[in-house]
Amino acid sequence: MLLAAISIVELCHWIQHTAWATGFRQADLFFPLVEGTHILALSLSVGLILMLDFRILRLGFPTEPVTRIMHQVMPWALPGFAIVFVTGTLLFLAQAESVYTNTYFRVKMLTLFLLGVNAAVFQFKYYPSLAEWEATDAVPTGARAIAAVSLAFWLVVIACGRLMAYEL
Amino acid sequence: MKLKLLALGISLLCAFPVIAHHSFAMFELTKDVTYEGTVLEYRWENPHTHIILKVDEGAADPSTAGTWDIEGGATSIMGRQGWTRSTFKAGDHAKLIAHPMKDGVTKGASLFYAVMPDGKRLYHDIARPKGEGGASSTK
Repeated sequence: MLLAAISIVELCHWIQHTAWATGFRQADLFFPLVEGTHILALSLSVGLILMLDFRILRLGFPTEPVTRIMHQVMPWALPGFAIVFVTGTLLFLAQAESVYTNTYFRVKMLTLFLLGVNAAVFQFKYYPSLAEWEATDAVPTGARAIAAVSLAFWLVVIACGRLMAYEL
Repeated sequence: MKLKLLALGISLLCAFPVIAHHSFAMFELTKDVTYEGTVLEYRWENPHTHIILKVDEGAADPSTAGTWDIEGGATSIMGRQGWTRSTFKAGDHAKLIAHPMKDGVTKGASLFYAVMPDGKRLYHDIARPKGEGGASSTK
Protein backbone atom coordinates (compact mmCIF):
# COMPACT_ATOMS: atom_id res chain seq x y z
CA MET A 1 0.00 0.00 0.00
CA LEU A 2 2.77 2.38 1.01
CA LEU A 3 4.76 1.31 -2.01
CA ALA A 4 1.83 2.14 -4.30
CA ALA A 5 1.46 5.59 -2.71
CA ILE A 6 5.14 6.34 -3.27
CA SER A 7 5.01 5.31 -6.88
CA ILE A 8 2.03 7.59 -7.62
CA VAL A 9 3.95 10.55 -6.21
CA GLU A 10 6.95 9.51 -8.29
CA LEU A 11 4.79 9.24 -11.38
CA CYS A 12 3.35 12.71 -10.69
CA HIS A 13 6.88 14.04 -10.15
CA TRP A 14 7.89 12.62 -13.52
CA ILE A 15 4.82 14.09 -15.28
CA GLN A 16 5.41 17.54 -13.79
CA HIS A 17 9.01 17.52 -14.99
CA THR A 18 8.38 16.38 -18.56
CA ALA A 19 9.30 18.92 -21.24
CA TRP A 20 5.62 19.15 -22.14
CA ALA A 21 4.45 20.04 -18.62
CA THR A 22 7.28 22.54 -18.11
CA GLY A 23 6.57 24.12 -21.50
CA PHE A 24 2.88 24.40 -20.61
CA ARG A 25 3.65 26.12 -17.29
CA GLN A 26 5.97 28.53 -19.08
CA ALA A 27 3.45 29.38 -21.81
CA ASP A 28 2.49 33.06 -21.51
CA LEU A 29 -0.85 32.69 -23.28
CA PHE A 30 -1.85 29.03 -23.30
CA PHE A 31 -1.63 28.50 -19.54
CA PRO A 32 -3.88 31.42 -18.52
CA LEU A 33 -6.24 30.51 -21.37
CA VAL A 34 -6.68 26.97 -20.05
CA GLU A 35 -6.90 28.25 -16.48
CA GLY A 36 -9.55 30.82 -17.41
CA THR A 37 -11.55 28.36 -19.49
CA HIS A 38 -11.62 25.91 -16.58
CA ILE A 39 -13.24 28.58 -14.40
CA LEU A 40 -15.59 30.08 -17.00
CA ALA A 41 -16.91 26.66 -18.02
CA LEU A 42 -18.14 26.22 -14.45
CA SER A 43 -21.04 28.50 -15.39
CA LEU A 44 -22.11 26.02 -18.07
CA SER A 45 -21.58 22.89 -16.02
CA VAL A 46 -22.08 23.52 -12.31
CA GLY A 47 -24.11 26.69 -12.90
CA LEU A 48 -26.75 24.86 -14.90
CA ILE A 49 -26.82 21.81 -12.64
CA LEU A 50 -27.55 24.14 -9.72
CA MET A 51 -30.58 25.45 -11.63
CA LEU A 52 -31.92 21.93 -11.84
CA ASP A 53 -31.21 21.43 -8.12
CA PHE A 54 -33.03 24.67 -7.37
CA ARG A 55 -36.07 23.48 -9.30
CA ILE A 56 -36.15 20.07 -7.58
CA LEU A 57 -35.89 21.79 -4.20
CA ARG A 58 -38.62 24.23 -5.33
CA LEU A 59 -36.29 27.16 -4.70
CA GLY A 60 -36.69 28.37 -8.25
CA PHE A 61 -38.80 27.98 -11.43
CA PRO A 62 -41.74 26.54 -9.44
CA THR A 63 -44.12 26.69 -12.42
CA GLU A 64 -41.76 24.84 -14.77
CA PRO A 65 -41.87 21.03 -14.85
CA VAL A 66 -38.61 19.36 -13.72
CA THR A 67 -38.38 17.54 -17.08
CA ARG A 68 -38.53 20.80 -18.98
CA ILE A 69 -35.70 22.34 -16.96
CA MET A 70 -33.69 19.14 -17.18
CA HIS A 71 -34.03 18.81 -20.94
CA GLN A 72 -33.03 22.40 -21.53
CA VAL A 73 -30.14 22.38 -19.10
CA MET A 74 -28.44 19.08 -19.98
CA PRO A 75 -27.43 19.77 -23.61
CA TRP A 76 -25.35 22.69 -22.25
CA ALA A 77 -24.26 21.22 -18.94
CA LEU A 78 -22.73 18.05 -20.40
CA PRO A 79 -20.39 19.79 -22.89
CA GLY A 80 -19.65 22.23 -20.05
CA PHE A 81 -18.50 19.33 -17.87
CA ALA A 82 -16.40 18.01 -20.75
CA ILE A 83 -14.62 21.39 -21.01
CA VAL A 84 -14.05 21.57 -17.25
CA PHE A 85 -12.74 18.00 -17.24
CA VAL A 86 -10.33 18.46 -20.14
CA THR A 87 -8.93 21.80 -18.91
CA GLY A 88 -8.76 20.45 -15.35
CA THR A 89 -6.80 17.41 -16.52
CA LEU A 90 -4.34 19.66 -18.37
CA LEU A 91 -3.87 21.86 -15.30
CA PHE A 92 -3.36 18.76 -13.17
CA LEU A 93 -0.73 17.31 -15.51
CA ALA A 94 1.17 20.60 -15.63
CA GLN A 95 1.52 20.63 -11.83
CA ALA A 96 0.94 16.95 -11.12
CA GLU A 97 3.23 16.52 -8.15
CA SER A 98 2.28 19.69 -6.28
CA VAL A 99 -1.42 19.09 -6.98
CA TYR A 100 -1.42 15.41 -6.06
CA THR A 101 0.03 16.13 -2.64
CA ASN A 102 -2.41 19.01 -2.05
CA THR A 103 -4.98 18.33 0.67
CA TYR A 104 -7.69 20.46 -0.90
CA PHE A 105 -7.22 18.65 -4.21
CA ARG A 106 -7.84 15.35 -2.46
CA VAL A 107 -10.97 16.65 -0.73
CA LYS A 108 -12.11 18.02 -4.09
CA MET A 109 -11.61 14.66 -5.87
CA LEU A 110 -13.36 12.76 -3.08
CA THR A 111 -16.29 15.18 -3.21
CA LEU A 112 -16.46 14.86 -7.01
CA PHE A 113 -16.60 11.09 -6.64
CA LEU A 114 -19.46 11.38 -4.14
CA LEU A 115 -21.25 13.75 -6.55
CA GLY A 116 -20.91 11.07 -9.22
CA VAL A 117 -22.52 8.50 -6.92
CA ASN A 118 -25.21 11.05 -6.05
CA ALA A 119 -26.00 11.68 -9.73
CA ALA A 120 -26.04 7.94 -10.44
CA VAL A 121 -28.58 7.34 -7.65
CA PHE A 122 -30.81 10.02 -9.16
CA GLN A 123 -30.41 8.54 -12.63
CA PHE A 124 -31.27 4.98 -11.63
CA LYS A 125 -33.67 5.46 -8.73
CA TYR A 126 -35.64 8.64 -9.43
CA TYR A 127 -35.24 9.48 -13.11
CA PRO A 128 -37.18 6.43 -14.39
CA SER A 129 -40.23 7.50 -12.39
CA LEU A 130 -39.79 11.20 -13.07
CA ALA A 131 -42.91 11.45 -15.23
CA GLU A 132 -45.03 9.95 -12.42
CA TRP A 133 -43.89 12.18 -9.58
CA GLU A 134 -43.78 15.18 -11.81
CA ALA A 135 -47.45 14.77 -12.73
CA THR A 136 -48.46 15.26 -9.10
CA ASP A 137 -45.59 17.70 -8.45
CA ALA A 138 -44.77 15.72 -5.30
CA VAL A 139 -40.99 15.48 -5.46
CA PRO A 140 -39.88 12.37 -3.50
CA THR A 141 -37.89 13.20 -0.36
CA GLY A 142 -34.97 11.14 -1.70
CA ALA A 143 -34.81 13.21 -4.88
CA ARG A 144 -34.89 16.38 -2.82
CA ALA A 145 -32.06 15.08 -0.65
CA ILE A 146 -30.04 14.35 -3.78
CA ALA A 147 -30.58 17.91 -5.03
CA ALA A 148 -29.54 19.32 -1.66
CA VAL A 149 -26.39 17.18 -1.59
CA SER A 150 -25.57 18.25 -5.13
CA LEU A 151 -25.97 21.92 -4.22
CA ALA A 152 -23.79 21.65 -1.11
CA PHE A 153 -21.10 19.41 -2.59
CA TRP A 154 -20.62 21.52 -5.70
CA LEU A 155 -19.96 24.49 -3.45
CA VAL A 156 -17.38 22.40 -1.59
CA VAL A 157 -15.73 21.40 -4.89
CA ILE A 158 -15.46 25.01 -6.05
CA ALA A 159 -14.21 26.22 -2.67
CA CYS A 160 -11.56 23.48 -2.60
CA GLY A 161 -10.51 24.35 -6.14
CA ARG A 162 -9.93 27.91 -5.02
CA LEU A 163 -8.22 26.96 -1.76
CA MET A 164 -5.83 24.58 -3.55
CA ALA A 165 -3.96 27.62 -4.85
CA TYR A 166 -3.06 28.71 -1.33
CA GLU A 167 -1.41 25.43 -0.50
CA LEU A 168 0.39 24.38 -3.69
CA MET B 1 -16.65 17.99 17.67
CA LYS B 2 -17.67 20.94 15.55
CA LEU B 3 -15.20 23.12 17.39
CA LYS B 4 -12.46 20.55 16.82
CA LEU B 5 -13.21 20.49 13.09
CA LEU B 6 -13.14 24.26 12.95
CA ALA B 7 -9.83 24.34 14.81
CA LEU B 8 -8.43 21.72 12.43
CA GLY B 9 -9.65 23.75 9.45
CA ILE B 10 -8.08 26.94 10.73
CA SER B 11 -4.78 25.27 11.57
CA LEU B 12 -4.69 23.66 8.11
CA LEU B 13 -5.30 27.03 6.52
CA CYS B 14 -2.52 28.63 8.53
CA ALA B 15 0.06 25.91 8.05
CA PHE B 16 0.30 26.00 4.29
CA PRO B 17 3.07 27.78 2.48
CA VAL B 18 2.47 29.79 -0.62
CA ILE B 19 2.00 28.93 -4.28
CA ALA B 20 -0.58 28.61 -7.11
CA HIS B 21 -2.98 31.19 -8.45
CA HIS B 22 -4.33 33.29 -5.61
CA SER B 23 -4.77 36.79 -4.25
CA PHE B 24 -2.30 38.78 -2.15
CA ALA B 25 -4.43 38.48 1.00
CA MET B 26 -1.90 36.32 2.82
CA PHE B 27 0.96 38.81 2.43
CA GLU B 28 1.73 41.86 4.56
CA LEU B 29 1.72 44.34 1.68
CA THR B 30 2.72 47.32 3.82
CA LYS B 31 6.01 45.65 4.78
CA ASP B 32 8.95 45.83 2.39
CA VAL B 33 11.68 43.43 3.47
CA THR B 34 15.07 43.08 1.75
CA TYR B 35 16.16 39.51 1.13
CA GLU B 36 19.72 39.21 -0.14
CA GLY B 37 21.37 35.91 -0.87
CA THR B 38 21.95 33.10 -3.32
CA VAL B 39 19.35 31.86 -5.79
CA LEU B 40 18.79 28.15 -5.27
CA GLU B 41 16.07 27.89 -7.89
CA TYR B 42 14.54 30.26 -10.42
CA ARG B 43 11.20 28.85 -11.50
CA TRP B 44 9.93 30.86 -14.44
CA GLU B 45 6.42 29.44 -14.75
CA ASN B 46 2.67 29.89 -14.37
CA PRO B 47 0.56 30.52 -12.46
CA HIS B 48 3.32 32.13 -10.37
CA THR B 49 7.04 32.54 -10.84
CA HIS B 50 9.13 31.50 -7.83
CA ILE B 51 12.60 32.45 -6.69
CA ILE B 52 13.95 30.15 -4.01
CA LEU B 53 16.53 32.25 -2.20
CA LYS B 54 19.02 31.27 0.50
CA VAL B 55 19.86 34.12 2.86
CA ASP B 56 22.97 33.56 4.99
CA GLU B 57 23.03 33.87 8.77
CA GLY B 58 25.20 36.98 8.52
CA ALA B 59 22.56 38.93 6.57
CA ALA B 60 22.10 42.67 7.26
CA ASP B 61 18.62 41.80 8.54
CA PRO B 62 19.13 38.68 10.71
CA SER B 63 15.41 37.92 10.67
CA THR B 64 15.70 37.14 6.95
CA ALA B 65 18.23 34.32 7.40
CA GLY B 66 17.06 31.03 5.92
CA THR B 67 15.61 29.70 2.70
CA TRP B 68 12.73 31.71 1.24
CA ASP B 69 10.15 31.07 -1.41
CA ILE B 70 9.73 34.49 -3.02
CA GLU B 71 6.72 34.42 -5.25
CA GLY B 72 6.21 36.55 -8.34
CA GLY B 73 3.35 36.78 -10.82
CA ALA B 74 2.44 34.98 -14.01
CA THR B 75 5.12 34.98 -16.72
CA SER B 76 3.13 37.40 -18.91
CA ILE B 77 2.81 39.95 -16.08
CA MET B 78 6.50 39.81 -15.20
CA GLY B 79 7.55 39.68 -18.85
CA ARG B 80 5.96 43.10 -19.38
CA GLN B 81 8.21 44.51 -16.65
CA GLY B 82 11.32 43.13 -18.33
CA TRP B 83 11.73 39.77 -16.64
CA THR B 84 12.75 36.77 -18.74
CA ARG B 85 13.34 33.09 -18.11
CA SER B 86 17.06 33.89 -17.79
CA THR B 87 16.86 36.87 -15.41
CA PHE B 88 18.24 34.61 -12.69
CA LYS B 89 19.73 31.16 -12.54
CA ALA B 90 20.71 28.91 -9.66
CA GLY B 91 23.87 30.19 -7.99
CA ASP B 92 23.25 33.87 -8.82
CA HIS B 93 23.42 36.51 -6.12
CA ALA B 94 20.09 38.33 -5.78
CA LYS B 95 18.70 41.25 -3.84
CA LEU B 96 14.93 41.03 -3.63
CA ILE B 97 12.46 43.34 -1.94
CA ALA B 98 9.31 41.47 -1.01
CA HIS B 99 6.24 41.46 1.24
CA PRO B 100 6.44 38.65 3.83
CA MET B 101 3.60 36.32 4.74
CA LYS B 102 1.27 37.68 7.42
CA ASP B 103 1.65 34.60 9.61
CA GLY B 104 5.28 35.52 10.30
CA VAL B 105 6.21 31.84 10.34
CA THR B 106 6.15 30.54 6.76
CA LYS B 107 9.28 31.52 4.87
CA GLY B 108 7.37 32.87 1.89
CA ALA B 109 7.03 36.37 0.48
CA SER B 110 5.41 38.22 -2.40
CA LEU B 111 7.99 39.73 -4.73
CA PHE B 112 7.92 43.53 -5.03
CA TYR B 113 11.10 44.16 -7.01
CA ALA B 114 14.65 42.96 -7.58
CA VAL B 115 17.64 45.27 -7.40
CA MET B 116 19.85 44.19 -10.29
CA PRO B 117 23.70 44.35 -10.21
CA ASP B 118 23.61 47.66 -12.16
CA GLY B 119 21.38 49.15 -9.45
CA LYS B 120 18.26 49.17 -11.62
CA ARG B 121 15.00 47.91 -10.19
CA LEU B 122 13.08 45.16 -11.90
CA TYR B 123 9.50 45.34 -10.65
CA HIS B 124 7.23 42.36 -10.30
CA ASP B 125 4.19 44.14 -11.76
CA ILE B 126 2.78 47.66 -12.16
CA ALA B 127 2.97 48.42 -8.42
CA ARG B 128 5.55 51.07 -7.44
CA PRO B 129 6.57 52.38 -4.02
CA LYS B 130 4.24 55.10 -2.73
CA GLY B 131 5.31 58.57 -3.82
CA GLU B 132 7.30 57.30 -6.80
CA GLY B 133 4.48 57.59 -9.30
CA GLY B 134 2.74 54.76 -11.11
CA ALA B 135 0.29 52.51 -9.38
CA SER B 136 0.45 52.39 -5.60
CA SER B 137 2.01 49.40 -3.96
CA THR B 138 -1.35 48.40 -2.56
CA LYS B 139 -2.62 45.71 -4.86
